Amino acid sequence: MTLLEVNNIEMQYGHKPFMFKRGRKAPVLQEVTFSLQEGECLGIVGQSGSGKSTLGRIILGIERPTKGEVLFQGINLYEATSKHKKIIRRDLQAVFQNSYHSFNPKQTIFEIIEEPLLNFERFSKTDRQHKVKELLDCVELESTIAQNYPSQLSGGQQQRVNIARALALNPKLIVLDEAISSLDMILQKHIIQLLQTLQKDRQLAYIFISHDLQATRFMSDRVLVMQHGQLVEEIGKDGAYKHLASLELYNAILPSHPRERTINNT
Amino acid sequence: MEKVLEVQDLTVKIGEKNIISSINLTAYKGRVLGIIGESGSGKTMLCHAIMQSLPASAQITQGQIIYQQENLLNVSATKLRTYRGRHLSMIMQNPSIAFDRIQTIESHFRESLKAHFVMTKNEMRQIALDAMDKVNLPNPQQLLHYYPFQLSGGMLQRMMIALSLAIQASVYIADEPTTALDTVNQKQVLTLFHRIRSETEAAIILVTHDIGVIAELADDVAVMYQGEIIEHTNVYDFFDAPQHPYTKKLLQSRILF
Amino acid sequence: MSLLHKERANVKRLFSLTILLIIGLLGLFAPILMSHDPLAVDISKKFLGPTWDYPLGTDHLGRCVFSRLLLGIRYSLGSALVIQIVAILLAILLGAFVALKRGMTDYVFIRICDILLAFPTLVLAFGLLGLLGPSLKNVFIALVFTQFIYYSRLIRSLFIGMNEKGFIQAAKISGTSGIKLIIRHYIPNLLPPIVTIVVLDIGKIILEIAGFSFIGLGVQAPIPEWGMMVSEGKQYIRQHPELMLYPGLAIVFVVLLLNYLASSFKKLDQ
Repeated sequence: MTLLEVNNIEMQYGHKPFMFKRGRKAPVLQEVTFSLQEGECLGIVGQSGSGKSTLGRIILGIERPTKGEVLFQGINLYEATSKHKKIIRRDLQAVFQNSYHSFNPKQTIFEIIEEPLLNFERFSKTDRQHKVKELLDCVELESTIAQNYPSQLSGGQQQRVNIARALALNPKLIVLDEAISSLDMILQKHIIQLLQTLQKDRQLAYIFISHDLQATRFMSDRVLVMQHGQLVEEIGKDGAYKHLASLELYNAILPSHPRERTINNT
Repeated sequence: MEKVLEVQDLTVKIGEKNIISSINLTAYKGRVLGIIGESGSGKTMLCHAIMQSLPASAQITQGQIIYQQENLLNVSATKLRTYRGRHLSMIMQNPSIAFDRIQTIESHFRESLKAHFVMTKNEMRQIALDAMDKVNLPNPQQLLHYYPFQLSGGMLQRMMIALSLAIQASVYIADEPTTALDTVNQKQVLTLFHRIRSETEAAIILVTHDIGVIAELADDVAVMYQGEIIEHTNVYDFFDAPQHPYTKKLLQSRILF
Repeated sequence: MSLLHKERANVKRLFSLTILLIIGLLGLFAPILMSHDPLAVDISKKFLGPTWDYPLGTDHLGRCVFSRLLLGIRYSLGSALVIQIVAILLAILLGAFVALKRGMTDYVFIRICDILLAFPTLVLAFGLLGLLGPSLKNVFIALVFTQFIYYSRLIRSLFIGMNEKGFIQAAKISGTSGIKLIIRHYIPNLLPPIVTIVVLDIGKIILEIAGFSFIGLGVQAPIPEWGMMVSEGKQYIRQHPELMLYPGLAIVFVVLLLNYLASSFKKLDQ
């Protein structure tokens, strides 16, 4: 079943002429079209400024595109009634990069993870406590951490809490925007393993946005390459790429051993 | 191999707790020393300790930092200022905080150069343009008049390196210089460091958490774990014959991909 | 910020808060603590010096100055407090609404504010009082109005500043919206700057109330508002300057204390 359909998205910043102000335009995304199936993991790579984060926000329904439509489970995100919007919300969640800033510094970890549950009234207090503990378990965190504040957690722990929160409503799709970029190597590996386990257990679909081609290819079934706001290539399972943008990203991958150095060595 | 900077038995404490303990390191001319460790291993503190820009709560309780046969921890304040600005240069992880938001690029260069050299405005401008050229920044003439906010992260990082090049630093201490950059920009900055290594006589200490950076650039590697250096060897031995279990674990982290 | 600064700020805050609280309680319990009816006129007792019975003496109408000062706490400090609280609550309602709605609503709101705020708040209040006529109730209305306009603009800016924050986006994705968003996320994080501004301005409001009374546009006699007392005392400035001095000092003291308190907030905020 097609979970997500993105059709001809165009995004321009700036505004139309209004009263005495002249209009200004800055195109950020152009003619972006693709789709995603249930349980699939789609990667989106590109350099900074390629528009991938903006695309992520448009897919999540928090930024309206200038043109084009986003259909999630058949419902048009930006034309839906508020009832439908609420239904969509449950199934479409996100994990962002800067994990500390994704948290309200005045809330405890428990309150942070509990929030999605509170917004959908069905859960009683005991239900919620149970669910939060279960979620912390899923992301391999001790339940004692629930009393702490975000500032007391390490980067890796914060990111796990982010993931726990995203899982709270049992979504169908999680958009991960540079979710591992600010973590160090060993942590990146753990988080990726965690994400993969969760995907298998819950039949989740992911959209994995990153500038790291290696990690993205590892996580994803197929990878879309973006440059200057346009989708320039799709890299399938066979891994062949032709476009310059993809090659540039590929060449930027660091070697795994000094003998594979690409920068000429003395 | 000529020694440029030597750290001997350096220990930094915050209160009673050791942040870094008994660190021994040597930086050689024309070589890159890669220091690898996780967040919290103390690598940033080490950089600050060498530059003596530690936060007020941290104290150097032991050790020496030898540069040009002097212990930097014992020199006078004026001498330290000379060394810090001119000879030792720190490249930080987050370039945007290293710049003064209300000064143009040109005035940043002027300020750095004025502090250590006597030159005319034109000479300073020429040096600035040369430096920006070396780091492959486009349109240096135009960039002189830009403010830091008009430059992207990658460009600012290269600008920081350009500033250090302009004052002809002998030791570069780069604290995770590419962590905040995307892969393509990262490659560019690492290429820069390679050029610095081969074209000047500077020694480079590069702190990172990324094995790939070590593989790409380092000549020597020191592994930091919980404030201590647990392995210190050349880059080939680091990859081919790791001794410490933590080093082995680090090397496994990229194998997944 | 160093620990020493924080400690000093904490001491400042505790000190000023305690004294203000004491003053507040004194005002609250004034009727019980007063030795005499502050409104009781007894010409035979006018201009008495400080005695045990009349700790600060009496004024030109034989009323106990001390009792009047005590009751005055309610009118000077108490009114200012009420005005600020009402103004900030209304401002949060409007400011939050406009900040979250944005678009045309926001645009119109800012323009209206700009026009009104082109006048200093004091002048605006003056104008209103002139229109409405002098009385305690109208002082309330005028000052609440001017403070409300000023604060809603501020609150709107504060809220807009938070709009792009990561955790606000994250909360929206979790399904939080509207009032819940404001109560759970915006307000707790904006409380420090809001409280600082409100406290800092209480002093200003006290001065404004006093000022209006002094020139006859505010409360009317015989209400023992401190500014009023200063005004009534001005005829006797030569022979009995203490009639102006006591209420004047009271005003100065409380305003200084409030500014001291607000400055400690600022230090701790940073």
